[in-house]
Amino acid sequence: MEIPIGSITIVNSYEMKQFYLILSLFVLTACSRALPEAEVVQQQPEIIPDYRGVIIPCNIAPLNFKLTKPEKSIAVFASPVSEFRIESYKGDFEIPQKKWEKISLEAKGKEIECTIYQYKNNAWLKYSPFSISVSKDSIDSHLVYRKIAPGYRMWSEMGIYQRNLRTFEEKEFLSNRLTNNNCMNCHSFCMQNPDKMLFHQRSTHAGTYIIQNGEIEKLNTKTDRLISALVYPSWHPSGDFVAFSVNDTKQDFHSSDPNRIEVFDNTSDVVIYDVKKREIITDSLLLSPNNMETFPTFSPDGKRLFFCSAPVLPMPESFREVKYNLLSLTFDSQRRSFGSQIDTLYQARQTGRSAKFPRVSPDGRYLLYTVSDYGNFSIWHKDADLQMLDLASGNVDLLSGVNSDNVESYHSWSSNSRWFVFSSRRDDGLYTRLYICHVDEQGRTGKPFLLPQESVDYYDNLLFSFNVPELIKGRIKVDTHKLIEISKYGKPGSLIFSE
Amino acid sequence: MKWKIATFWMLVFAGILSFFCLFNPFIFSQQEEVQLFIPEWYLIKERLLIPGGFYGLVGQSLAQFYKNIDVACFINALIYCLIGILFYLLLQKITSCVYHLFIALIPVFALLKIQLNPSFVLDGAIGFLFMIFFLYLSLLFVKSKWSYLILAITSFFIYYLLGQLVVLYAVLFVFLCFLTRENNWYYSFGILALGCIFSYTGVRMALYIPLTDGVYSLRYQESQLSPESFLNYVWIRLTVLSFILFLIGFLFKKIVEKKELPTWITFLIVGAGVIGYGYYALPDLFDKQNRVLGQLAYMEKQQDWNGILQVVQKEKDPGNINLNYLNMALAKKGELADKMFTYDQKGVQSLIMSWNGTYYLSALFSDIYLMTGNLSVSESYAMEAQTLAKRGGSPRALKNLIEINCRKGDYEIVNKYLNLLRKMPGYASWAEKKKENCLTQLQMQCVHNSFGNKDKLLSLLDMETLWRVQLDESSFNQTAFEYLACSYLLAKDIDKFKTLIEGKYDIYIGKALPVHFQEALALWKLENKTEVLEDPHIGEEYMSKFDQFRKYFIHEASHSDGYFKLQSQYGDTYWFYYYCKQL
Repeated sequence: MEIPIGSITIVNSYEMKQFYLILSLFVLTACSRALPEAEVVQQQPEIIPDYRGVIIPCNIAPLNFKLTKPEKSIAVFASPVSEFRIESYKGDFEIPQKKWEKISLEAKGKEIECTIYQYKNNAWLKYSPFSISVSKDSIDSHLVYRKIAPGYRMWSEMGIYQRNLRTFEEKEFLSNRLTNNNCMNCHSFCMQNPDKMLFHQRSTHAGTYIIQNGEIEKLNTKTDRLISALVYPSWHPSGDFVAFSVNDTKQDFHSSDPNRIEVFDNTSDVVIYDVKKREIITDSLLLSPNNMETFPTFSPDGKRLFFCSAPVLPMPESFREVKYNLLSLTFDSQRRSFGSQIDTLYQARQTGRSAKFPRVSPDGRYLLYTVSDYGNFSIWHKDADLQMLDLASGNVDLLSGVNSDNVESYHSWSSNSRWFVFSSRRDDGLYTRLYICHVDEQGRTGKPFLLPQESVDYYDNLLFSFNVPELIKGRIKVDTHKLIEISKYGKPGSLIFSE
Repeated sequence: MKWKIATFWMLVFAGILSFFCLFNPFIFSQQEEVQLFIPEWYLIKERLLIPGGFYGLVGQSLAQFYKNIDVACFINALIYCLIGILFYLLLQKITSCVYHLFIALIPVFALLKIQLNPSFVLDGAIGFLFMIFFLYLSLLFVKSKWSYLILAITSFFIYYLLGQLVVLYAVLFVFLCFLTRENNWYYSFGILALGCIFSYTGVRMALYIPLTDGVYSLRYQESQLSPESFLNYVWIRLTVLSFILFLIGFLFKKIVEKKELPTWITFLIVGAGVIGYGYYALPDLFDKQNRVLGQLAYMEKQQDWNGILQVVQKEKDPGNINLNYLNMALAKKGELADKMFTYDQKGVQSLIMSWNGTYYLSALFSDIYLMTGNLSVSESYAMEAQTLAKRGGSPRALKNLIEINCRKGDYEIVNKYLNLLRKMPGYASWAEKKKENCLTQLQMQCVHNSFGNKDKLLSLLDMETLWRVQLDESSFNQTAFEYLACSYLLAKDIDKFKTLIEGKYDIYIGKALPVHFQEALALWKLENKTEVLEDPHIGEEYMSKFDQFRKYFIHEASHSDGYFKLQSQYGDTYWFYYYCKQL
């Protein structure tokens, strides 16, 4: 029965209830409408990025992906508890954040199963489902990297960014738009601590910037006593020291080689910087005139220093013959002194290859490093691969499930030692992308996955490479404006040498 | 009266359009090729989220149509004309005068001058246009103190659209409110304060560089890799100019009101000022040189080789970069070794000059080395061009990279670049066609075999060796051969030339050697006093002509005008270059 009141008509409540019941049924039916009748295809769909069979942390952003052919499609994501679906006209699936978080938590320690339906040639096809394993191990909340175009001699826009791995939020730590287009690199954190870090700026506003709990110190590290300003860094776990290499580096280009660019050192050494006393400590074992020492890294207990070393050879003629060994020696942080015995972990002459970028997992169990046929700047070597040494047993894992037939190079560990992130050029051979890989307690690695992005076309459109990925336990909290002011106008401190 | 004003501005539009079309339409092509604008929503959204992203987006959206330079001339003429009209309307708010039509031309002249600078981008004009548009709207709206409050709120909207330009807008707004004696005009200081707060907040949050960076010198601005700083420089100067012009408008108003000057004298002063400023804003020598370079680059893109030859021929003293274009055009036509010395060459740098780390030279070198088959070197310069392009990349560089990597068989990277270009309206059809060609190449497995034992580091190779590498039978490149041979001729090293040509007579079987090669061989024979002068590779006419040249040279060399006489008779020969040109 209708009761008109002015221009509003109120429908009898019983009839109202009936109306709403029918409406609800309609809505529910629409929401849970059945999946289409489809012909089953006995293969998995081809997706980009390839997230099939990967192991992911429970706290990672949604793994948005697209089908290789843009067709009308449906993706059904199922955990042991629930499922949801996404429909797309173009075959690209951007997963809602909340739904992804829910399903990831539900599938923690288990798998998310994804089934794809695709409408092709006026019929639906149902592909074999693929799984995404959700590890119980979480990953650090943020990832820091530099983005730079893969240039040759010149550079333009670049910046250091921090990415929240749980979401797609990427924030500028510092961009060279704001610092007169200079160069910035080698960001490094003490035990994944965002409150204790350093990085370099080159060319304009040159210096090493050490940031501790928001306090910024600018250092002029160029001296006559060293062959260069301080280069590749590695923090001592105490935060009291930083190992640096000093390198006389040259870049050259191949006239006809798939590797395009060659970067080599004419000479290099390793020094230790005492952060509190602002002193450089040197040792003859690390400053040998007949060898090139580089890529220092401390063990997580701070008692050993790992580094790479190769005999000095005439350059650039002998660039293909330079092969780096992986060595270590003890370090006494109280006395600020080194042991006299050098241990060899990777013998280049025996293997015929060259090692670089040693990184020990925070639990001290594994040593991850990169090998290539020669040299030390492996991002331009298509043969560069990762290897992992079990420091307890001495076994070497060639990581065949992790490496590709293209470059795998720089890498770093998560604070819980269960994940590492690495640079790879497997997608197109030129632009470096970041992959994350799981390592369990037994040292078994999973299939790595590409750092997820909100837009499925992100990597297609991006003409920048990702450099030096470093996982950190929280957000870097620094006043960027203050950092810029100090860069431009701050008076740098000088290095002094411990005698 | 309104129709007269409309006619005036239509004439101004026609004048600006003519200026662009006649003087330097090629600058728009240059601006288009240094930007990579990918019209994807998530990229557009990213830019819109940052205050000031709007005008940059508009600028780049329009610039993608600059591939057609006529369209570019039209767009720019329209924008500059609108700027003039809005400026006139602002001056009319001070007082209503006809001579304001002429004063309003001054900022237009200023922009016409500035836009000739390669560092300038359309965003600069768009930003200024929107700024004075909002200025005009604000003056229309301001009536009571409450309107100032509403304007204060809308200043946030202006900040969102125009970024730090809101400060300059607010400065001019305060000044205009004062000049137009608006009620409670001092409330406009509140808008200025807000503008400064917004701008400072953005700088404090490290969203952009400070507007105050724009006070530094032009040289400083041109050294910056991105256009942001240069735009700040332009806007600050346009604001100061606007300030002065509004003040002039106000002072003339006072003078006219007090009838201190006859109207015709006012017009005379204004006219003289406008003409004087217009003269100052005329293109200078640097602009003219840039114009020629822009024209050569444009003709190269159009593959108008004859056009390039005509342009360089008209120059009295062509620079090395112009000669690089010229010789490339000759090589493309297959006439390098026949006609090179009919032009005024200046040594080996005429073929490839020293690299100066700029975008345009990198792009040119990439084209030259691609032509001579040096794929790695071409790729290196294409990558430099891609890096140095001021607005995110260069479609021209990407096209070269596609070609190079197609020949090398790197199809993943080819696909990436092709997919990018397919998203850009001006390059979509080219990319589609190229994709088909690349697929065909893949099927035929026509991969350039540039690898293997021939690899060396480029620091160990000189230019000569780079070209020699292309002379192997398996990968012989005729252009590389002619470049190498011509480099010897330009260096006057005819012994090396002779050795080179002797090993490669077979490539000219059935046809005569190029003209300059015959001239050089004739020269070599007589210089080396060889007994047998006849040579099947040298036409008889060259031997006798050279003999005549030598006699004429001996006769005329001692005369003061001998050089010019020799030039008029033999200026198009290698002999003249060899004997008379000082390197």
